[in-house]
Amino acid sequence: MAGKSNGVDTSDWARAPPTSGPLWQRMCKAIYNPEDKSFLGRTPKRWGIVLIFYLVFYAVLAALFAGCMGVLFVTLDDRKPTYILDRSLIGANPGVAFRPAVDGSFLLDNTNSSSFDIYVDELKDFLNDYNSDSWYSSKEECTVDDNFGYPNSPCFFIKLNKIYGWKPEYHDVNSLPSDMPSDLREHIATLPSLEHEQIWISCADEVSNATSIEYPWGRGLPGRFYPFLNQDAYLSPLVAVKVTPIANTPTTIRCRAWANNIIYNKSLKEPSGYTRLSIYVENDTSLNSTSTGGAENK
Amino acid sequence: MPHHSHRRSSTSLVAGRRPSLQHAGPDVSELTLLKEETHTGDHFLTPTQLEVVYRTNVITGHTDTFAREMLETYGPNQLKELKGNSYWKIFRHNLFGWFQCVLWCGAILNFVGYFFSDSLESGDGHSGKEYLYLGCVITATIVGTGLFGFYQEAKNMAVMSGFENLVPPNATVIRESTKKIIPNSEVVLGDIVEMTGGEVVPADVRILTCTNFKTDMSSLTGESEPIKHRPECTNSNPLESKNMVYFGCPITEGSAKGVVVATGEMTQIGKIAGLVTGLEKEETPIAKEITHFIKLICGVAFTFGLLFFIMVYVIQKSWLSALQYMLGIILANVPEGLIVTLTVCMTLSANNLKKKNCLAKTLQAVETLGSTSCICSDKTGTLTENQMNVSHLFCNFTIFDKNDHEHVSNHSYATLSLAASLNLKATFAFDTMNLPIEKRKILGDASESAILRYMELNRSATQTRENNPKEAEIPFSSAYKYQVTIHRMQASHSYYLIMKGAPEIVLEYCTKVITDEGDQALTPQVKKELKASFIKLANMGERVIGYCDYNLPLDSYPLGYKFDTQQRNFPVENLRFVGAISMIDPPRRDIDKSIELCRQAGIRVIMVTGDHPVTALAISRKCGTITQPTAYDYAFEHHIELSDVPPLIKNQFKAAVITGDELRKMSVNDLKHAQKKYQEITFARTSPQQKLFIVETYQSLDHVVAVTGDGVNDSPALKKADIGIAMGITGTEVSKQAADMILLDDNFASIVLGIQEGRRIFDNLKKTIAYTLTSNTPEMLPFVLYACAGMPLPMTLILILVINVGTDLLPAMSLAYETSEHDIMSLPPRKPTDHLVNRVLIFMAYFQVGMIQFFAGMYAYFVVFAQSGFFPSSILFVRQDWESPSATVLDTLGRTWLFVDRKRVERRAQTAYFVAICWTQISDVIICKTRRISLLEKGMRNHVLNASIVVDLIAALVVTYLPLCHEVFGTEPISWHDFFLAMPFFVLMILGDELRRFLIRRNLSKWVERETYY
Repeated sequence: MAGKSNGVDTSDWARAPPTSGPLWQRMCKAIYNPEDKSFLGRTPKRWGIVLIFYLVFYAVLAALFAGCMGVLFVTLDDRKPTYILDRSLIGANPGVAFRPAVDGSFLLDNTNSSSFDIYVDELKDFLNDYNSDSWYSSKEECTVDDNFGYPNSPCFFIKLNKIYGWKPEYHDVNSLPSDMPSDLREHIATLPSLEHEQIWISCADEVSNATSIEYPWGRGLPGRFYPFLNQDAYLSPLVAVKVTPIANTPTTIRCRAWANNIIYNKSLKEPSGYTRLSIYVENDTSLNSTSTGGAENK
Repeated sequence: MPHHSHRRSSTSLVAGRRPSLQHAGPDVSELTLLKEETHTGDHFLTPTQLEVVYRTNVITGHTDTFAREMLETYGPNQLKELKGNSYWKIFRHNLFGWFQCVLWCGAILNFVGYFFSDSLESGDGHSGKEYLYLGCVITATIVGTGLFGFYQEAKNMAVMSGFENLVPPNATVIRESTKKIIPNSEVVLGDIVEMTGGEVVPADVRILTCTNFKTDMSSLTGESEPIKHRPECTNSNPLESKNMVYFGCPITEGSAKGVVVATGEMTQIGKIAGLVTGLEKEETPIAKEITHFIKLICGVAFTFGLLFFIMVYVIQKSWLSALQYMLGIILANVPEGLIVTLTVCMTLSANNLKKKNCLAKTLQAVETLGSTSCICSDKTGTLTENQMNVSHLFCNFTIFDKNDHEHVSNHSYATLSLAASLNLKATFAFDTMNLPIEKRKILGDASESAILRYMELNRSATQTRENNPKEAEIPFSSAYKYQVTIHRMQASHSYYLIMKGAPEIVLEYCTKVITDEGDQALTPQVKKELKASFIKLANMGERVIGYCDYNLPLDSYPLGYKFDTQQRNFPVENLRFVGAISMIDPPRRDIDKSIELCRQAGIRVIMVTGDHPVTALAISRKCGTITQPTAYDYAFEHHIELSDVPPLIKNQFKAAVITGDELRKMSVNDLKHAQKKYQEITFARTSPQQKLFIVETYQSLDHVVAVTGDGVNDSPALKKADIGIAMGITGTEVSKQAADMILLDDNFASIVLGIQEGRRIFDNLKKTIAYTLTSNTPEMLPFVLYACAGMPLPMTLILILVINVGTDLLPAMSLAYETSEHDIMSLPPRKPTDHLVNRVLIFMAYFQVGMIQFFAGMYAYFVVFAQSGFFPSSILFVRQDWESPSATVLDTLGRTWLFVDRKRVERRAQTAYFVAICWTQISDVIICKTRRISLLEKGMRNHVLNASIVVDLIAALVVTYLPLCHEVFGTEPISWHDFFLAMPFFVLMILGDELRRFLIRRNLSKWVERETYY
């Protein structure tokens, strides 16, 4: 039996072997195959066809995309957002912010002008738009002329974030909220009734009362600036706060905006209705140097 | 000499497979042992010696206690099952496979991120909770898909094992002097067993006593005629000795008592089955494809992931967020749900096939069937009905069709009918007499059964036989090849002798021939004429049986005459030739249509049979496997011998019948050459070993070969074939174990249905993969935009997971329910070089459909931003500020956005992007429904798919609007009209694809097909 062979025992193969040749040769063939003159598996003609195909395909796709975007822009009003107030994600509760905008903390030396010049420059830039405004040009303190009080008693400008269509609901002068600081109540009481329609700003040192805080431009954001409807050359009203902190002590000032529809949440995690600014004054000599820091909050 | 060739075939299986076994590794000494044990010598022993050897008693049998001891020592009497997958293996594979390990890494990374998030808070916007959620979702994904896949595979395995244990056979043994019926597996060495017709031999048994005991040893030796056994030893080879019967052989008739000499693995069949388990099984094509694809995808995912890791690290200098984005890219690229989907697809199809009477043992087998390009099919039982039927009657020099009843009253026809009815040993089984004739069980061999059935149907044979009782009988013997009966005739009150046998043989005993006009002398001229008719019948593939008779004169043989069959005190010469009956095992109904369908589908059907070449050719012609002339036809037409056909003419034929003898002389290359040259081949007179040779040669010609078989000796070929198909009814247990698929009804047409199903599966798998891969582009590109264009991230990791394992999963599975495209069976079979995932599919998915989705998503993203005041120009290159919790960002309207607010805008845009992808994935599943025909023609009749679309939309709604989902998936509700932002792209995708299909169908430009038909 051993000699009997009907072919079964001689057949180790069962499949045709794969195309032979060493690896590099096969790779070369994959890149350029001289037999059918194909480059990376396609002949130049087929490459052309493929390129044209994808060109046309993407052109059509891009055209459709462009068309859709065109329709979008036609329907969009570039002056007025689609969603306003409560329907908008930005909400109807304006955030409170201050200028100059500061990110992070750093040291400020009052003998070294380069440490505060950036703030002065930023404020100059920021207030540039206001120059033509009579409301601004009438101010005397906290302007370019006095270098915004830097470095000894720097000025900060408190503003509200612009919310399209938002109208403040002013506090009734006769029933001001009970948690309103007494100095602000007294200040309001001195004002004529014409000026009662304002969003009041109150600032206080969070720790001690030693810091001197002045409001050279008045203590309210005038109601005539509201509502914001993306008017041409619209300028946010500002309240200037002039702070004179104690040297070599970290100072945190909290400024709160007062109106019936500004919700106040004193939590640091979900702040609303106030902003905090931290100032650190470094004094090598006997003079103040100012360091500011803090987050810009609602 | 048939005996010689049997021995050779049975041992050559062992000898022939030896070299490959050496390759495969099993111990060679074990094999030698097996071979030597063939000669145990049990067949030489006397019953008394056997009693001593097996410590038993021929009369009383084992005691119960001893039998139990034996069972414990030698184990149950059953064949070792072929190695299957254990549940644990499936479980491990499903939970810790390639994909899963990638995902586990991701999950662990996230949990680490969660626990260290406090210390690592790097201001990149990922809070600790996000890590936790993402980790949980990934874990849930792995466990969910893993368990689902495990469930599916386990369910499938349960179906398979359920089939194997369908009918546990029983055996009758004598123990403690009483007959007992016990499960076959409890039979032990030395048991005294009783066997009767219809059962299966329970183990290897040495016969002690028997009466007319016949077994069908074809599964062991290939001999199809049942072997009649005797208690005496007749041959030194136990396989040839008549006193040995073997495990698994069906008992055709008679009864016997014997001693069990081998059980379980030690039986002859057990040894062959052991050889089968040693054969290496090639990985199925689809398994190769899927493995290849998974490796590719994992490779791509890791490459991109690493690229992003480096890129983000360079930009952001934070290894944690770099790792995050690497994870994102990997998650986007790895289609998490794909493996589950594929499993489900194939399980579904296996179930479908089961309904069509194909039982797939492995899921992959189903698909393999679809790529089949060559079927090597058995004749008996697969292409034919496996039941002999009378097809023609020959008398009065005329051939009558079986349905031609006009001549029944003719003298010769009536005589033939009478002779045929009387000279029969076969009888109807008593207990089935009440059934219609077609359904009655007949005891007797195939030819006699056919005649009895025909005669009973048309000539009421039973009545005739009762009226004319049989007085004497010379049974059929291969030595003289005829059978004689003598009947006492009711009508003439005389004796009537009938002889039946091979027509050429019985003709030699005749001197006269009956005609309708009276008897006629049998001249050489008449003889030649008759023989020509026999050849004509034989050429139709029919088995011819001749009849002749002799009216014994009453004066010489008065009633009551004692006939002695040994002495032959009656004439068996000078008989009168009556006629002949021819029979055929007819092709199955509509088999020609099935074969025609195969031909259209570019599949060759090769008949491989043990039959005579002429019969094989005739059946091939009837079935349609051979349609062109062969050398045989030429030889018949010109009345010459086959060997006399001139070689020049021989070479012109396109079809051929190759016999086993010719095959034996051919080398591998000769056969290859023949297989290439002849489109239509029938292999006749082949041994099962040659089947393996034929299969291997076809495989070497790059054919995907399906093989059908039923005997034990077929199992090597079944195992070697790309897909082995065993017969459910006639198949032996061993062949079923070796096969990948079992035809429950033994019908060839089921194979064709299977092929159609297999092709459908391949198409549907392609569709599924194309669908699943598409969403990778819109999942990956957002990270590119984020890293390169500095835009707020359009797509989060968690939403990628929601798409990949949430919304994508059901539609992908529902594509498995898609019906086949109508031209599926007119396309040639898939070439082995055609991959499941080819370049065109990748390009389609990633750069065409995927890009549409990306644009749709970006449109939705821009719209949401623009509506909130961020026009596209304002969100370019803002990443630094955008991601910093302390910085503010100005929108186009000049409003200042704080971190919390703008993150909500971002989340809303991400939600819109997600919804857009959901929509375009719906259009994607719609275009994936069909690859060629128009959607209008195809319709939306796949209700599973329709339902999945609805579920998909509901899922998108839930993710968008359910508050819980906002928390877990980081989504934000969008306005209702923003929900439909993707509509233009939805429409573009469907219309564009309709155009593409139109171009392909109309064949307007070939390159569209080349670039876009996957």
